[in-house]
Amino acid sequence: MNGEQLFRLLGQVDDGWIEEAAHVRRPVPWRKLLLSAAACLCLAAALYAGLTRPDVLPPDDDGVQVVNPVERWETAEELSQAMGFSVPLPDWLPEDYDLEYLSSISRQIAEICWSDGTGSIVYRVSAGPDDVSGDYAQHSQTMEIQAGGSTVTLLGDGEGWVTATWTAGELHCALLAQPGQTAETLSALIASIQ
Amino acid sequence: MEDRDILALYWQRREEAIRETDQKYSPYCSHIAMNILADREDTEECVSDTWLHAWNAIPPQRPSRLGVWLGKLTRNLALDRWRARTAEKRGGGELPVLFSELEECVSGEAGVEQTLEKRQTLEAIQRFLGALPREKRVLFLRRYYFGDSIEELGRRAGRSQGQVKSALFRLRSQLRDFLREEGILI
Repeated sequence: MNGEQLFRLLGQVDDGWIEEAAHVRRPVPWRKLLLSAAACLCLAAALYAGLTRPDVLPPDDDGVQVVNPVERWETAEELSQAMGFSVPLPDWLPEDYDLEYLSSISRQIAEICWSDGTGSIVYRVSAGPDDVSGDYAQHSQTMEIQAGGSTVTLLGDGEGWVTATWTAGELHCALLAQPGQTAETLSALIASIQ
Repeated sequence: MEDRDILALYWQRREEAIRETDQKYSPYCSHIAMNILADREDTEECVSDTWLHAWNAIPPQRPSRLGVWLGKLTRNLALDRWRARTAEKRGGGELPVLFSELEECVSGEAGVEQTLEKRQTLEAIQRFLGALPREKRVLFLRRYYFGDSIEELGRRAGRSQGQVKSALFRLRSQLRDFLREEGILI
């Protein structure tokens, strides 16, 4: 297969992924929006731009769409209800990190993202049998630590640990950090998950 | 107008269907075509072709996501048009760069594509995309489905072009490793 054939094949990926990528807009930090009336005006402008930008699908609420594999949830309770189990959550985050979104993928993987405006930490949980990190890269560094009663595998390339995976009972869990975090930070976050 | 109303116009064979489709989806489909063809006139013709194909396909088809369906149609038509143009030695645009990037994930040799192999590869790509964090999945598809430029992706994500290139490089490496691990030799 050559590059053109792969490019054509990518034209057949799931409609839900296409729609997700088509609707995405530049993220706006929620905290700033809530604190500033000026920022509210920015949001209105951003939404307006989103509706008129040529690379964004226009909104549609015709009610005949197939379920998008990626669903957003407003609260952790809604996410847990969608997943069919109580999604364990951390009660500690690194400084300045706030909730960015709660979502589920095909209702098989719960995904929660926190951001400090530049970096992000994505937390994934699944009751399924597989690794849910989605990190297929070959990392130069690996380390195992004990945190929250589990053995946690850390992966990185010398600039902090970017992936942490562990099993908690029946659940497979992962943290994905960009930029990488210290082992102490990830350990503290995992230990706080209840 | 909502998609279900536009679809109803197609099914009633009313030509307003095309006008409403053009009004709602022309910017979106033009963006996809322009990224591939890099030529305004060709893009306009390609989008007009899309409406004609839609008119011929609906009915009997009733796309559940009209916008995505039209976008895919536009993408295929634009690729065919680009291929024909390349045969006339006036290909151009950024498409060769995109193909060259994607070749890092595959053998690079054009082969006869078997339906079963294509389906297996597509299913593997779906699994790969499904396991990616949303931000990375969107970046990958904005580049390799929509054909967005590095500059545009940087602007969209608030990152430098170097950061975007690095992120895409890592994603391509991950896809290549994933396909190998899945035993897919393409």
